[in-house]
Amino acid sequence: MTDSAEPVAGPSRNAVVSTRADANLLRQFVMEYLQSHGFDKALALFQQGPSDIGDAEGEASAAANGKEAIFRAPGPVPLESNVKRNIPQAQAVSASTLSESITPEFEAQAKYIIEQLQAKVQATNPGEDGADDANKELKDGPNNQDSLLDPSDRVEGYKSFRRWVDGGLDLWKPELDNLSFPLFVHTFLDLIHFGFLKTARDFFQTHASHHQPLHPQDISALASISTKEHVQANPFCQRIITDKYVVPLSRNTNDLVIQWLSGAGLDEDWEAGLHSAAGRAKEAIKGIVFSRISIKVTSTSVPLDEITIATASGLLASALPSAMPIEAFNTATDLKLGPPPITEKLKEQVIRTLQDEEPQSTQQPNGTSSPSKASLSLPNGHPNGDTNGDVEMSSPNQTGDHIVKLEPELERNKDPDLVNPEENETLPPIPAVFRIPDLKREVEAIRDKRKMIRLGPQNNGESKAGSSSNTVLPSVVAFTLFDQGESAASVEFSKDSSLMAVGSSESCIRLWSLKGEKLKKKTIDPSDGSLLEDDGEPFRKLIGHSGPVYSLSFDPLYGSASAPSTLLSSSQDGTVRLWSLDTYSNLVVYRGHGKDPVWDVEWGPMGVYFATASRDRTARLWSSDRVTPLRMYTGHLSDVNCVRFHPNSLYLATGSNDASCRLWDVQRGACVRLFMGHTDAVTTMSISPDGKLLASAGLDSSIWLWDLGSSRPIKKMYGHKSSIQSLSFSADSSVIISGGLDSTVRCWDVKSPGGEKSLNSTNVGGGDELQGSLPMGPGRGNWEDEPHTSDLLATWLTKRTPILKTHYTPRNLCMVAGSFIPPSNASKGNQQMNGQ
Amino acid sequence: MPSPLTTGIYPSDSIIETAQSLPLDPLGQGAADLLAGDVEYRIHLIIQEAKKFMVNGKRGTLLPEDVEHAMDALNVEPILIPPRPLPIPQFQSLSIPSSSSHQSQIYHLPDDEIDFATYLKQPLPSGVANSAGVKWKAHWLAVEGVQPAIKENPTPTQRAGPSRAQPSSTTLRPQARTQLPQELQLYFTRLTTALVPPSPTGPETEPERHRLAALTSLRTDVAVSGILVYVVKWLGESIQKCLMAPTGTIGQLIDAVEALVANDGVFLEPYIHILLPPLMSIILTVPLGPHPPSSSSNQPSPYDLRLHASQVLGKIAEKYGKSYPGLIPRLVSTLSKTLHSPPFPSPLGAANPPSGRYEGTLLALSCLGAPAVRSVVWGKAGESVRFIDDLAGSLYTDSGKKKNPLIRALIKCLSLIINGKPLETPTPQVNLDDISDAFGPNLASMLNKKLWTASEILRIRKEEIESGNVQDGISGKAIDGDGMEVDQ
Repeated sequence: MTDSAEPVAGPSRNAVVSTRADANLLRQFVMEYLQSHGFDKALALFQQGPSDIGDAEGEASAAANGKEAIFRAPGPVPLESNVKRNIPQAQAVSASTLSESITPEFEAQAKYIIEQLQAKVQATNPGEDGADDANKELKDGPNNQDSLLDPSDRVEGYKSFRRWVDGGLDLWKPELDNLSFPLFVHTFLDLIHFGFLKTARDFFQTHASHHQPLHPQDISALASISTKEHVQANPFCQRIITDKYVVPLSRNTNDLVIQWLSGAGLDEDWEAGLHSAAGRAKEAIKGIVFSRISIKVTSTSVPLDEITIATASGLLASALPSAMPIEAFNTATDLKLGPPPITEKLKEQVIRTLQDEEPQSTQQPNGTSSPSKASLSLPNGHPNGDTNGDVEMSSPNQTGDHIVKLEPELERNKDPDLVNPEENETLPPIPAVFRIPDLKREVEAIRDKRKMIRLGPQNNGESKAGSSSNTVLPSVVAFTLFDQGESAASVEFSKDSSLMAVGSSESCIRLWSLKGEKLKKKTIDPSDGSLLEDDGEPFRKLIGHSGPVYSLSFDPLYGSASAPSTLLSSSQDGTVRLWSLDTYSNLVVYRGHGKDPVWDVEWGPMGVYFATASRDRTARLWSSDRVTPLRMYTGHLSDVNCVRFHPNSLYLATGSNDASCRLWDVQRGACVRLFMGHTDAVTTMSISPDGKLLASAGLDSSIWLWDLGSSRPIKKMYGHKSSIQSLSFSADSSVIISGGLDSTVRCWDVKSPGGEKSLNSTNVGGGDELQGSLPMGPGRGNWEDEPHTSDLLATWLTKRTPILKTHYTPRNLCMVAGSFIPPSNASKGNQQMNGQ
Repeated sequence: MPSPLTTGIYPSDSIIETAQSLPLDPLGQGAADLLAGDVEYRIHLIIQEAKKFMVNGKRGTLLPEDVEHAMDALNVEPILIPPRPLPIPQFQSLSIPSSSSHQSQIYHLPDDEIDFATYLKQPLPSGVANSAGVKWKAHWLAVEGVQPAIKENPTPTQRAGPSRAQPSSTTLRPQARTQLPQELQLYFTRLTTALVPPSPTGPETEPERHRLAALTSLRTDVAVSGILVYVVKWLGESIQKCLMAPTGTIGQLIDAVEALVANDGVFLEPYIHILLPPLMSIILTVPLGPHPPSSSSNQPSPYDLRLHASQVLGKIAEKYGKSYPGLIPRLVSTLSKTLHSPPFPSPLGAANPPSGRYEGTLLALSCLGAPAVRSVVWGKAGESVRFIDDLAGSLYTDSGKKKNPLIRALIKCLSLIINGKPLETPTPQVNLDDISDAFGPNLASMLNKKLWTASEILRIRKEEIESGNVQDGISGKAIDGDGMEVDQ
């Protein structure tokens, strides 16, 4: 039975699992061995040893546990290398090899173990009595054998691990450093648990700064812990105690860790035995590594990159619904990421409408200037004012063959990899008969698509050097709010760019027309039922909430064809309100999150349904005609900060305070993807219009790009100096615009591989870009000196306006909004920024 | 059982004080420590919660409202927070005679009760009352990736960040920093730092060489025109600030002005009106330089400074007097007004009369040319000279001494209006008593070595009186004076 069990167990699990059964197994092996080689005395001692100590408790069994783990541990290490430089227990000793290859080294090893056990038997009894009084009171603790370790051993163990990591090769450092975080947490919690509060506090203060950058939230949670009761009350501590922290290690790193723990490295700690402080220190670390941490060893020896480490480590067990590895979980479901289908009738009608309009648009004078120039002269005017589309972007010779051209535009799913959802799968199901708004919306979408400016690097089959200079960057209109202080909590633009809504901390919502029109209130005359319009006001105030308005969403029904008719808002008071933009009044109040603030609200891409994210750790799906939620999406371990619908309405992405993003199946309510990697709360997300990518950003001021289909992280983009408040994909999904509290708007290339600036500085493309631009030209400030990834296309600074919202029009004009902070407050703001 | 050690930062003393202030039994052993730890944990919880409200409010600053909302969310009894702007909290300390030996201090916020009726009657804060409500403005942040240089966008130099190291004395104004290119900013900084070395310099030291180089640059470089307005402003402000500074510094500033005036490559005319007042300040101000005057020999005296400044003023008048006909007359009238103003009480006390002002006036007039001297200093047949002499007598109590700077300046002036002394002519014999009678004793005592000057002024006076007699008949005083001279 042993022969079959051991090889199957494999290298990776060997290192991790240490159970009582294994200990028994080991004992059996040793006894067999001793018996067969006539070590009678030793056998007697061996048998006597464990029985004296007692089977369950005592330091000896702890030692046996630890040692046994070493004994069986490193399967994958090539034998030759280990034999040469290590002590023999680092060899792969499985049951099969045990009986066959009995080397002198092994004999020595067995002897050594026996000696250790013997010594332990003698040492335990007086040790029990003479244990220092600090530990005595803690005897009733659940892990009695641990309490025999003096607190300094644990601290020393962690320190020596860190010393070993810092002194080691840079190649393995990221992986090993990642391992040091759970070691840190467990050491700290153990110290607290055993009542060494002072030691724990000193330990925390000394070492917390090292983990601060990568685990800011966890560190801040731990900072408040000072007694055992707090440990029990604190959710993070409970999670880390009950769950196993998953740490991915490459094969080589795993070997290194095993070697170090088994004392096979350069130091002599192990030889000194468990009675030396250094030996006990290592023992403490070993205890944590083998019992509290789940090490996942990859099949390759290639060191893991930062992204893999960040995405695959953490307390995954509680984050996942079932005990399955994160890769398995993320690939278990295939997603239908294609665009929603369009009925044949609607398609026909759209083509017909477009063809009818075609002659008109060609007759229009071609001498109109480009939109940017036209509105540059009127910077206060509506940037996309010429919605009649008198700007013909396509070249004249193409206008002849419209029917040919229309087809690919309506053929939405160009990518064969994407599976289109069925007509009845979407939310709401695609109706068999279309309505006028549907037609208008689709026609406008086609028009927008034609007139869209293609952004990002243009690779039209030319050489690489040429392509870099062809980068088309978006035009950005900044809407600056004045006299608002810091009280604007949310800004939203309507899809047709005609309205801007600002939710303030003073619980009102302000609506402006960006076209300079007056907002007219419609009423129905009670006497004859006729529709009346008042004179209109330059802006409207919607009053109803009783707390800061954290999110706003315009209904998408009319697309970019005409102004939306309703607005959703979510607030601190736990309600979501639906406002009519015809009467400027509150239509419905949705309560469902109780008293908990609703952080985000978004309409589904086809209207009717909307989703909310709340402090109660759930996201919910609502239908606008019901006041109770339809679905609840639970699983996040902390507040859900943002929700975004997939363009085909089948999936919902949520970003949470627990530094993860999830993708949910809207209908089933099941989580289908988990994206981990952020080091701090995720506050904003964006799903690309082509439905393939998810970008997320948050307080750690970096942007992660994820591939939804394969659930793999694509890249991490950084450069912002403060938290990011808003992200938007351009209409062609080629560039991302981000705006943050550092008062900058940044533009990122989606397609480029990214990575460190220094790596790409030798790149031909990057070099040309630098040469081609003026050293002091506009748009090129000193920001190039700041650390950022190479896919940062541009940075635009505002004077003193932290950006709250970024938005792309369907034609790829970018709009950003923020509220200006007067200089007196700005210095404070800067300090705040620097502090973060 | 050993008492648990305090681990947090929240002091257990605070708990003890609070417990004592409440009608409670004394706290048991270690209870305060445990409670302090618990309080700290709860504060952490609230702040952690409040941070969420800050983050979702899209702010970088934690506000009182966030804490209030957090307490609401955590179901903690909320504290009513008055609306912003909050008064800046003034912690007040109370010293408590504690049971142990040491005196302990606790700090508390006086929490006054706010009466709603009166609070609502208070006027709104100015920012709210005067505000026309929230407005918005749109501008182009970028046009096809390029940030247009409009006033709504920060300039490239602003983008470079404010951490530019510049000596405080020569820092450009923020406005200038936004408008000047980097190179010129650098040039300006280097130039201004070199022109006024921080410490007095010897003739052969490194800073002095730099100073000379900077002066040369200022005198010859056309590039100065790029920063001209800033240099002029800087000079003006520096002089104004340095009037009480060591005289060496003032001298260096005058050097700089001189060099700038001498630069033909720059169009200085529009800035003359900025440069003149500082120069006049140097010439006229009392006291000039530190007081008491530094004993160091290598520092120029205030007299030297006034002389130097006057020379620069003269150069300006010479260079721009033609194109600005009003320039010299205006200067002369200013100076003459100063000369005839009565001596004001000296700011330094009676021992230091404000004579420097009159010295400066005379020196400046001497540099503005003979006509100016003739009209103001000489006056009608030397009447004004007599006036100045009286002034010198009254200002300088130790008038017997030869070192009367006012008279020295007067002689300098007079030398402008007399004819040059022919080389071969023997020095004429002049009766100094004549001078004393005609112009005053102080001048006479100073002129005992300058007999040619003495004879010349006597001659001029005589001629003028004679011509005056011819012209406007007999004036008693003139005849008297004439007669006396004739008699002798």
